[in-house]
Amino acid sequence: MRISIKSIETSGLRCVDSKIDFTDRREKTPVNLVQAPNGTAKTTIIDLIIGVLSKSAKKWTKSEIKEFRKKKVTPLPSTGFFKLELGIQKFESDEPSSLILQLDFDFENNTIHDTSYDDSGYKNFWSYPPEMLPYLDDTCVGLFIFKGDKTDEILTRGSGDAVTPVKSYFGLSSLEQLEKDIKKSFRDKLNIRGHDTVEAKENKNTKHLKIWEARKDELDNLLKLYEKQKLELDTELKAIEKDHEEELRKHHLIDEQKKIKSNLDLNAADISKKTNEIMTLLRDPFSFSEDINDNFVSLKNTLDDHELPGTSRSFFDRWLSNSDKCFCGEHLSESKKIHFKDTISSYLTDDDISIVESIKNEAVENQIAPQKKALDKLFDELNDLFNEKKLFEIEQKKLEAKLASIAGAETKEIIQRHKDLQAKITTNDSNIQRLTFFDKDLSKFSLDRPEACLSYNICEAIVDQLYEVQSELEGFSKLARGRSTLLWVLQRTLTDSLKSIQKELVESSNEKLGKFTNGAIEVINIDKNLQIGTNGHEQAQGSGAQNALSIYAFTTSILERAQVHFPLIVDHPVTALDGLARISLGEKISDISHQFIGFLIDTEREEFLPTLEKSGDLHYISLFRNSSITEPFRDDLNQEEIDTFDGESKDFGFVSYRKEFFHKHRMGTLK
Amino acid sequence: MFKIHTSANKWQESLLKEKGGPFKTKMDLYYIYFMTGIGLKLDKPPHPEYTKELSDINDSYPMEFSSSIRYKIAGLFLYRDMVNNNLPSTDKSLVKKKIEDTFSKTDGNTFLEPDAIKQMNIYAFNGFNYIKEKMNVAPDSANFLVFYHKELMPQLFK
Repeated sequence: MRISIKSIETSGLRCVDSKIDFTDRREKTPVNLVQAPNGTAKTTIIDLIIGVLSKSAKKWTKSEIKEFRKKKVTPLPSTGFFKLELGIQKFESDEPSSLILQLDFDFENNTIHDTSYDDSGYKNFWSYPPEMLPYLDDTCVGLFIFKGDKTDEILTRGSGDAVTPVKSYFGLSSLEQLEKDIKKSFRDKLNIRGHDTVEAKENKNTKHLKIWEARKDELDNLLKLYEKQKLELDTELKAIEKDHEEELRKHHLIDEQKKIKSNLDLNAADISKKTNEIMTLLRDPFSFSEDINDNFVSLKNTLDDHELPGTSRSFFDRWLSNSDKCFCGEHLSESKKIHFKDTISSYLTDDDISIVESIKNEAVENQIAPQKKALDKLFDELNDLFNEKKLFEIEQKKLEAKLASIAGAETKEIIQRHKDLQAKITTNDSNIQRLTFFDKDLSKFSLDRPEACLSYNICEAIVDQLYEVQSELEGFSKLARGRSTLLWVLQRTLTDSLKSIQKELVESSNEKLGKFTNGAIEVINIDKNLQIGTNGHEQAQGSGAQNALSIYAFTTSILERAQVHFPLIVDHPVTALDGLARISLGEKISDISHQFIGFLIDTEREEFLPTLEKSGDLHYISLFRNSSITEPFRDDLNQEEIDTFDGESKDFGFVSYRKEFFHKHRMGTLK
Repeated sequence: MFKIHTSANKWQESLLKEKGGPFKTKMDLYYIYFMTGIGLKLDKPPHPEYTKELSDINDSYPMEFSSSIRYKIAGLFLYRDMVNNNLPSTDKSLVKKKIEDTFSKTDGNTFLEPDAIKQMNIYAFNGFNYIKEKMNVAPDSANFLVFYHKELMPQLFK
């Protein structure tokens, strides 16, 4: 099934009242580019699309709903709506059918109401095709709607998460949920009885269970709190970084900052590459010390002196037990047998021989082992990179000092807030790390002291164990065994399926990356984050374009493998990329998806737009508010475009789909 | 089963989580601790109860450790353990017994008997303690490697 966005329409909301039509590959071109002045609320449009497609709008709080109300008009609107029209093509040969999903806002009560309309008629709720349902959650939708930089979300070790969307798309998160449900239902069953049998009441396990359950809830609440704080802090950091960048731009220091940052990034990538080379060499024990070569030569000499491994003992063992004649043809007497047995007892078994021979071979092959010298050379190179890093850091400090010296109080405050925030983020991250830490060895925790356990994950595992014991105690042992078997099957299914899906996704992403980058970068593994590198070696990061293309390749590989193909919607598709990277991405974008919707800002035009135009047709969309400040744009509209004007709207938005209009007017700087 | 000092799990967490970092698995760090312990002849259990402070890692080497490397580790272990225990290499029966006690007939991955792996665990345990004494908090991997190369490696296998 293929889903495209045919149009969106809004009224009474924070974004300008408008209707925008999009195209897809089947209809015209897959690439839709939207430009709009700042303040037209592109982000609101993206939030609304996410809200409807992930159904998360239904969970919006009253204050979140209130935020969508149009503010700068009098009187304030009491209602508003967002209409999303999807084109749904079940099979390649089918004509797409239309599904309209509408979100109505009631700003008097700050409530929303969902309705839908398709061939079967109007419905008083959002009626999606059943095939779409498994994908309608935040994680899945977050995969095809890029809001902000996906590098941190998917690539960054520690914070990046490529596995959760994989689990969501392939139904594995439902299995995880099932696992949780089984555990919960088992616990509920035991809890209903209130552990009130005489045996249970008097048993220590019952007491332990109660205090550990309480501790688990306590840590769970803490974890939720820190995770919520993490989101808030990340958002705050992004905003401050934007402010900081703006200050640098204001004082003409932005280019210098970009250069230092790029040098630091390259240096970090080089250090990462070098440490990986070092570790590859370090895994060979011969790299530790030249004395190890001497050790191996001594070992070989010792073994040679003793004629070890010598001849295989198994041959003589067999011969002695099966034969009654000696090699010479004479009778094999008992005394001869004893003599032979004593002699062959100094021989080794076949298995030992094979290992000893292999070790001796290593000694021969490594008599003049160059590993130690090679390692020392790599460390010299690493030290050079460290020195280079120090220089860049000095430059960075100088730049900050320069900014502080010329900047006013406001800038200084931004710099200080940035520092404070980073410290807060570090503390919060380490709290999350502590709470999610896991160690299989639970025996070191005293069951009488749950307060000593600082990890939610460990606490949960201990509670699980206590419930197992409790079930025996309360006569539920059969149920407990059934539960354990079922959980085991589920966990194996989850692990095996995830492994095979990850393997296939790596292959499919690399097939795309091979085309995109001619093998300059590859996906090495998907282990929590998406790990990229070259020649099988992971590296800290690729260039901006390599990161972006890796993420696009990974994302589209998932989307293609899913039963439903979604459009790719990207806010600021190339902001983080430099000129060459923009060209590189521009050449590939039309191959990436059947529908691409990019919300472009002025600074992204350079290099990206010309390259996109070379690679095929584009659908140009210019959206702007009807106001005095946009008069130059309005004057340039043709009659058909002017005729769309809705005089009833207090905040009307004009839309032009003409290429020449798009090229002539840059809109980003208008307020 | 290769086992690591329980507190190493926490100590090395940031090294393993580093983006694009050189330490791919816990076994990489276990191996560094082991090389430190065996290189410094730290072959005695630190205290009788030390096994209570061990956590399981793996029962085999991960793919980063090729068979050639595994043979080298087994050979190094055999030789250094003989030297560290002052085993006379001139006595063939003792050398043969050591080989039989060390090399496994069934484990085609580590090539080592469980008791030999237990001894490796002691070296790794002591090696970790030694490193932690020098670096109470793990730095980033690049600084860890530089420190290890500069300060610790020259002392090993003397």
